[in-house]
Amino acid sequence: MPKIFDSTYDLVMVAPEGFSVEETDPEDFSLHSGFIYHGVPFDVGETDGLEGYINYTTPSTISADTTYTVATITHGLGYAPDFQVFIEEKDVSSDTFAHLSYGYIGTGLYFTARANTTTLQILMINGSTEWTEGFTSRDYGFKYQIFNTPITGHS
Amino acid sequence: MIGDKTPKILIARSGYSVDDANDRELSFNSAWPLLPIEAEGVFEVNNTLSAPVTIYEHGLGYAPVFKVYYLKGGYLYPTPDSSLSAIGSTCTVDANNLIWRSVYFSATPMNLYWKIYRRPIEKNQDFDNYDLTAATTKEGSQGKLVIAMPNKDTNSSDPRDIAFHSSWKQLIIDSSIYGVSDTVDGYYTISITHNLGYRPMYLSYYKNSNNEWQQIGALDVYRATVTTTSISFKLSVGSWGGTAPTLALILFKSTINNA
Repeated sequence: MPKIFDSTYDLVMVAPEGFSVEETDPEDFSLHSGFIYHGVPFDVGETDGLEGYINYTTPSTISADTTYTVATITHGLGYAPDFQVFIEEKDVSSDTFAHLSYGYIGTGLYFTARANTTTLQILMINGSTEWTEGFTSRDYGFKYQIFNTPITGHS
Repeated sequence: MIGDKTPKILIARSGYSVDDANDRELSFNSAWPLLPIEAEGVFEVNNTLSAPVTIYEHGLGYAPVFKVYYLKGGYLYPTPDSSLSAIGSTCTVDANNLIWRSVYFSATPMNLYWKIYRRPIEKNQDFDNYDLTAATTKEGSQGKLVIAMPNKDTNSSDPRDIAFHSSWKQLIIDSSIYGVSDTVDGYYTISITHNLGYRPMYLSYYKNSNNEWQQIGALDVYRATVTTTSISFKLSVGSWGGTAPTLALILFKSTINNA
């Protein structure tokens, strides 16, 4: 069943200031045991940390039709977990960010991330143009979080 | 308001004390919202479909925050996709439904895995900031609050069984805003002044011509300027075209960089 929220599973209910749990709408609960929340676990058998930051410098030549592995994080959870990855464009400014996937318009060059039951990978994927300047030797940072929740759902 | 002696519940993450933890060291503050999962599922895109198709009737009466991944070659990728090589699929939400709008991927079938959250995209919310001074770490055992899924054990070693764990870093919402974007220096822009003292993570959406909300593919012309005091999500006017779009932005109490 797609529905997760179960209002009858009310072991723990925390209402925000000014509300009683009896009159609080589900949207307004600070915490309700009938929901599931994303958390970044630790001490659950993971190999690598489930939150982290990775520095990456692009190669001096970016070959055409090539996929580069920026990073492989081994989560070891045994299922594909929800995640989010942000890119920091260090060579633009320390204030410039985007979520993945992230691309350069009109170039065929982009970054993305993917997860399976053992790893989260960050990739740089290049299209049909070889780059020897512009996008080469550029510095990036990647912030990732891996959550306890499975992408494919709680069956 | 934090610090006004109003009764509230504070829980610090493992290794910190609520006596002096900052906002990122707390896992729970009853004054701050989390992002609760309302529903989740899978939808198969195939060549027999003609968009739009309702994936799920959520019936919430508002367009909810949502996320979608697609499965390809044994890996799950986030949408929207930002390549120009046409991989992925586009989904939207309105007040009643999660909708599949288009596929830009030649090989079908393709499974989409989705989650809807019990929070409107159209919500303006802000809170007073918390003490930004980092706590000293705490030694020894600590109390914690663990909520297991129905019929699961709070001592389970499988993180999927846990609905909330106070020792884990949570996705805590700092603030949110929506509205017609401003035009600033050649960009359609929506901004929040957060004054968090660090650069926060965010989610962004836009309202499309069908009056539905969808995520924005990130490009060098569609990205954010995130400082320790504010965030501006920007779309290049020249690339976006048209009139100023309605945008939404949600900030989280987590750093987007290595700070």
